[in-house]
Amino acid sequence: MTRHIYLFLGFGLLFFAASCADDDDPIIDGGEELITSVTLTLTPNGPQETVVLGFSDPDGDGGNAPSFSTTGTIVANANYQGQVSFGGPDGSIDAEIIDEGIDHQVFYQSSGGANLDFSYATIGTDINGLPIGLSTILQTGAVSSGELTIILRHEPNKVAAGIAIDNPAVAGGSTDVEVTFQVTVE
Amino acid sequence: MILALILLLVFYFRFFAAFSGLLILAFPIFLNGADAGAGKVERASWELHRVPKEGGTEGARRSYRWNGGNPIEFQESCSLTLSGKLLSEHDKEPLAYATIYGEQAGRGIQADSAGNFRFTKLCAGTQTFRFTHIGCDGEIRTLNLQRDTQITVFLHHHDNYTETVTVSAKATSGYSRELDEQSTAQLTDALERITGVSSLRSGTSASKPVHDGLFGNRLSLQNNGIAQSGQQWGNDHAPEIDPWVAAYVRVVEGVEALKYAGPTVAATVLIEPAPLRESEAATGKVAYGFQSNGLGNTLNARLSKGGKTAYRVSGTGKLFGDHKAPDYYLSNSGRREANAALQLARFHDERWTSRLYYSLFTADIGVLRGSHIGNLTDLQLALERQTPFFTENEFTYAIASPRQSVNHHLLKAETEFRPNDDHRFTFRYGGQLNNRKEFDVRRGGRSDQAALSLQQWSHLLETAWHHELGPDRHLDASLQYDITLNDNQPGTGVLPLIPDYNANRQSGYVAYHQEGERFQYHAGLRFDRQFYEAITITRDVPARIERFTHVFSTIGASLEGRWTPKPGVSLRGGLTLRQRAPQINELYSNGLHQGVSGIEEGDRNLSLEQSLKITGGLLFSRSNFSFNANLFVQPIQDYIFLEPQPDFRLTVRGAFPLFLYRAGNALLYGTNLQAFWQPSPKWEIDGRLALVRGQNLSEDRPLVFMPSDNFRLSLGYLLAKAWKLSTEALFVSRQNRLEADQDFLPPPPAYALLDVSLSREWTLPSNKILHLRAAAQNLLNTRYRDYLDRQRYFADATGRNIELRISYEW
Repeated sequence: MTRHIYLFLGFGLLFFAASCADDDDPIIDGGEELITSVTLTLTPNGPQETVVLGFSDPDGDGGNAPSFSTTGTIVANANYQGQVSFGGPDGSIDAEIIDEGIDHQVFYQSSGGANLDFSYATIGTDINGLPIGLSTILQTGAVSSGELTIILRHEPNKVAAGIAIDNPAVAGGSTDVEVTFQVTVE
Repeated sequence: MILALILLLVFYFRFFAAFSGLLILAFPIFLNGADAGAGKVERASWELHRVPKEGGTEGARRSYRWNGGNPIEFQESCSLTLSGKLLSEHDKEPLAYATIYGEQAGRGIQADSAGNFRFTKLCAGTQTFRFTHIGCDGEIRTLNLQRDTQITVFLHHHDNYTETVTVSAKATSGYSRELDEQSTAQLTDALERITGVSSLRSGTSASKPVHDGLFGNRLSLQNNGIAQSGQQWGNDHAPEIDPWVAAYVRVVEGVEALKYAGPTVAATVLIEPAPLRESEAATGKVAYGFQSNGLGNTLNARLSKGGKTAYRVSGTGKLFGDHKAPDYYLSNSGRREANAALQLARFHDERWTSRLYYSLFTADIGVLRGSHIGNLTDLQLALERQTPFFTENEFTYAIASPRQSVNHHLLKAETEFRPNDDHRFTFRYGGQLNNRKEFDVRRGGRSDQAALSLQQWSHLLETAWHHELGPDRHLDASLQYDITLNDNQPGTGVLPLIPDYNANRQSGYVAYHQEGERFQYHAGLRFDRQFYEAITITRDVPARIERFTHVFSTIGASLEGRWTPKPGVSLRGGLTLRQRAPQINELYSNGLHQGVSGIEEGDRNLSLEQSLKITGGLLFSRSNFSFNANLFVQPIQDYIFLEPQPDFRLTVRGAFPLFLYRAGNALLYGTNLQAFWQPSPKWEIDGRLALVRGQNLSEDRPLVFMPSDNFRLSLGYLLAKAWKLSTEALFVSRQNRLEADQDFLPPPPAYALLDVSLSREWTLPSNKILHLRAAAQNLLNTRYRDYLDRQRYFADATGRNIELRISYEW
């Protein structure tokens, strides 16, 4: 008798094969903090044309490779007002950066021989009077080509020793944006 | 416990409505149809009772009992005899050649090969005896001797000296007292004391065990017999277990490991609370510990009581602030924990026992602020620094982002039925709910919004059968079914690295054990059918939902044997074949893994990983000396690993290295050596050496995260008045088997650490015990970084820690 019961129980448990699936689709809410575009607009203080350097990666990290665009020509020995703008899937996030000005700073590095000399504009500082760096002044040098890297740092130490528009290394913090454009000064 | 039964049925109903009738029908028949079994009944199979209580009706079950001899009123002084037997608490096996040391007599004797001893010429009055056996925790007993006395002492085996019921060579257990001493630390600190186990860490915030070079998805943890669920794929996710609840911590391999669920390729870590016993008196314990490093406070209280309905409740609170490296604070490395556990057992009758276990683990864990980086440039800058970014000069208990907030519920209900001597049936339900939230430093006031928020439900149903075929043969079999529902919680604003998924698994296991005096052999077989449904979000714009399903069937088989040519010498060998289904992170990871600064992409075409582990061992033991050597070789086919790609992946934060999950072939091999020597009852010397090598044969280069060679030497000395002094030195060599491009930084140099502890136990009237302990870890405040610690990129490991601990038991 007992033997049969053991068998019965054993078989009962074999029927555990039922599956139980959760069929709800997940809610796609990624991206609100994502930065998908970087646009640097250079408005000349002279007769030259306006230059726009663009970076776009709508699908975020991974996926398709980002794309770069350049309209206009950077002219040698000219002076420009630079304005950088960061965008996310829901539009510009510049206002968010300005609201948290003390926690953000944009840095500009030219390398590879590009004769670009950036300095922070006097407007657009944070409540401590330290640069946020969305607005800049660019003085170009002789004809050259190279790279321009735009870096947005989150929570940098804005008064770190040695900090400069092209030296975020000493500031610490974490990098939210680091985009490198190929540039030609003609 | 009726409650346990009801719970079992409720869950059965909820998830298996179609089949619930079977079990409900089966139960009454099962109960009525049972043979009237008499004689030996195996009650809780791992009975443990450490602190003896006075008197009682079930004297034989107690740790000692008075022999109702003739009441001789005036025994001539110093002619009394204390005799008795020493048994292993675990399996009631006699402990051959144990030593008994009489404090007042100032001399010691040795038990015979059957554990019997006779201590003669003792004086009347209060006498303290120390009972020790190689590989056991000593017991101190204070007796008021007035006549010849007979006692039975149960000692608790610990560590590798145990030749446990199964041949599984590594069946290793730490004892609750040892664990209690460790419990201000994390669980893995206790595990590390097992030879062959190291820890993979993220500073003070998380640690995971590594055994014989395997960890994470390849080394599953069983919390009280239930495979610990949660986000075990993450190397920065510690298993959510309160070390205070764990009385036994063991690593089992081979046949024994086949019994348990979980994606493992060889061993399994078992973490078990002390079982409840019907004969246990009401006891309690309160312990408080203070740690100077992190100004940590740990408070634990537990109450337990035997009887028809036995229970134990335990509560733990922990509060730690910033830890300190020798030269600076590790800012934001605080920790808060609140844990509770309830254990219930109902001994319905001789044949039927039900148990219920519930535990809750909640923790808020700070992650070193300086280890949060945005991209590779940040990482490079952080690596170049001596002191991490964001290091504050002040201590604080506050925890800011980055941090983790986790809670874990585990409910286990089981009922065990023994219709007669030869059969034991167990029905078990295990349910777990794991919530994990991780907070990063974020823009726009989002630091209080989790960047990762995962909820996981898992349910296990199991039926197990234990069948005695003869005095030295038995059969074990079980069937398991489990389901896991893993969901990313909305509201993070971040596309998840791991998709939502549903999984279920059906398993069967059978093992045969033959345990003769000279020859033992064990054979086991396991089958699993694993189903996954992954619900992924595509990365194109607009994002779409895609569902993928997988079914993996895996087998596990193990054969082990032991030969004991003469007492004290045994040879072991084992062969274990295991297949492991790829895990969800290996199949579907997609995105930036912030913790490792790399983009990881899974491969949904991965197939089973197949491992063959060959083990051999030698155990040599004498009354005061033992030597244990183990060797293993483990080739793994289709070993899944992250392969770094030559091209970087460009993102808005710069270029990141890209890692793809790939399958290749790997070979692991290594050895563990362990020696224990007790030159006199007052001295104990213990040495342990672990060496592991791992090679990725497909890439022809070493596997990453292989533990460095390490050697642990400890020395125990019993001072006057039962003060015990222990020192332990740990030597860790540099991990030289690594190529330069396999890591961001070369492995850190070798280091040595020194720990010291001084403890004493007082037995107060009516068997109350007061225990004091003062200890120092990293006594010399050595500055070091460990290869298996991910925080080594950013900061030194913690410096000196002085610990004071007091506990009171009644």
